[in-house]
Amino acid sequence: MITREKPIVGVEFKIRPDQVVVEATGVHKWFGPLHVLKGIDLSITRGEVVCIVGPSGSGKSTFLRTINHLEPIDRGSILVNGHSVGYASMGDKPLPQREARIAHSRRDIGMVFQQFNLFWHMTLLDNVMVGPRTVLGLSKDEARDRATELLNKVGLGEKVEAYPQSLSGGQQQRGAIARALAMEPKLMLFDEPTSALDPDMSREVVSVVEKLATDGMTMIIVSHEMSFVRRAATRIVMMNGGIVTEELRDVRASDLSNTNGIGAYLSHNL
Amino acid sequence: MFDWKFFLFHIFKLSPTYGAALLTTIGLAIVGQVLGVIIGGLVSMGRLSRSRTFRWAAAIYTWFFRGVPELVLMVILFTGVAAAGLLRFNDFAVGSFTVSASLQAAIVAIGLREGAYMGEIIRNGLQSVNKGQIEAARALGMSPIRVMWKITIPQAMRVIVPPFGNDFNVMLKVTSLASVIGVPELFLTTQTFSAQNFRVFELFIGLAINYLLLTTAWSVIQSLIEARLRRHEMTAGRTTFLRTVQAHLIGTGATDTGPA
Repeated sequence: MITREKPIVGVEFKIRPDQVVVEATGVHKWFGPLHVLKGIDLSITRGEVVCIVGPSGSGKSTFLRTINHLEPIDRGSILVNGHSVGYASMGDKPLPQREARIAHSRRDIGMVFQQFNLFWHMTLLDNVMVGPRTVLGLSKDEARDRATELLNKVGLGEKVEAYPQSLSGGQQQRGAIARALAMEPKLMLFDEPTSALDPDMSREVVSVVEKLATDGMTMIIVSHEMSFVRRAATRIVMMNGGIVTEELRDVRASDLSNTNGIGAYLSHNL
Repeated sequence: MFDWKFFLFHIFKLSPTYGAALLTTIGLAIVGQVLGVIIGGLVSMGRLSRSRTFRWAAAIYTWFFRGVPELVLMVILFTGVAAAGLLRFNDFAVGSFTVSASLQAAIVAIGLREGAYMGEIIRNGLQSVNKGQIEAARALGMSPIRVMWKITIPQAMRVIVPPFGNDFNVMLKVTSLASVIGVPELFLTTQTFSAQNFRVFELFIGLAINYLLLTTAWSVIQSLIEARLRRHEMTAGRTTFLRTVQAHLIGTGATDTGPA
């Protein structure tokens, strides 16, 4: 199913289809009185590219943010590569871990944000180097080599010394993807990565994501962008009102133009 | 009649006494400011703490030391506290330099007061940092301490440095209050000179020029620090030293768009 050309990251992803990367079971979340996640069950295996779609306020972004514990959960469990992120014991009442411990668990999970969030006080190169330097303890030279290579691969080889402010949105987002990849993550989370971009810039970002998919990177993408669904997704998950309402597996073999369920949603909204 | 000869002689020939006074003023300002920054860091942490007790403690500290004049504080610390038998400052030596009891009291008073102001400045700086920046750092797997040192503090500096510079400018002049408790800084020394030869006008014009030189030197240093913190805003080419300083002193006019 997955064809590989040149990997975008320096490492090959060892794809064992049976290997579960994300295992969410009965995830509940409240914002005060607001019940935003009402029992999410989702299992994602290595190499899958899962697009989460659904109307605004359906809890898609919140769910994505619980996976690397940027949002704590109130009930249920989320395992990434078999380990719980943020909780020590996975009973019905999750027991929160210390922040430093959670930080350690986040190394393997890359995240890309709607607003890019490149560190504005650093050059693009420093943005990509800072994670490997401070978190992985790479030497300056190793980190620079890795960062330069990644920036070249996302087409920003000329911009390494630029500060984020002087870059276009599309360039910033590709830089942000390079920053996340520099940690050599086993899972990438994309939170509306093209929502703040115009169509041309979206295309640049989509093509980088598409290359990653070809390399076999496991990804979860929350997006309204049809081209992610068309060009990268292996599975579509539809959320509404805090639950998964529908799933379409093996997207690449499916006809997305059918008139009910996900097909209808996509043709209406995308 | 303004005695030009005396005036110029006084300005251009530093007597050892006057030189010592100059160093005392600068030292008092710097040590007081450093103390203020340390206390201010703690106060800002208290202000932003999750603990209600710490928030209260920091708020009361700020309320008190922003409200009491440093002159009153100095007198209380130097004489009042000793008179009440609570704490007496004693002279001690650092190398060949004696730190007098009055100088210690002045440093503590100035530092306590400055801590209250710096607390607010630092708190405002920390709160100005965009949440998305912090989230991105956490998502990379940085621990809270790393996020603080690598992202939050460097970005907060942009907001902290301008009012900090303002405060230090004030600090350079506030040191003159220490004359009241007998610290031989610029003001007291000049006053002593004038009591000896009655050239009050010449001496104090000279003193005014002296303070102006100090604050001007600081302005230049501050402009260089701010330029460094604004590197990311520079679009093309490198700016010159003179242009940086000029931009700081008189601004760049309506084209200055400020922080992004």
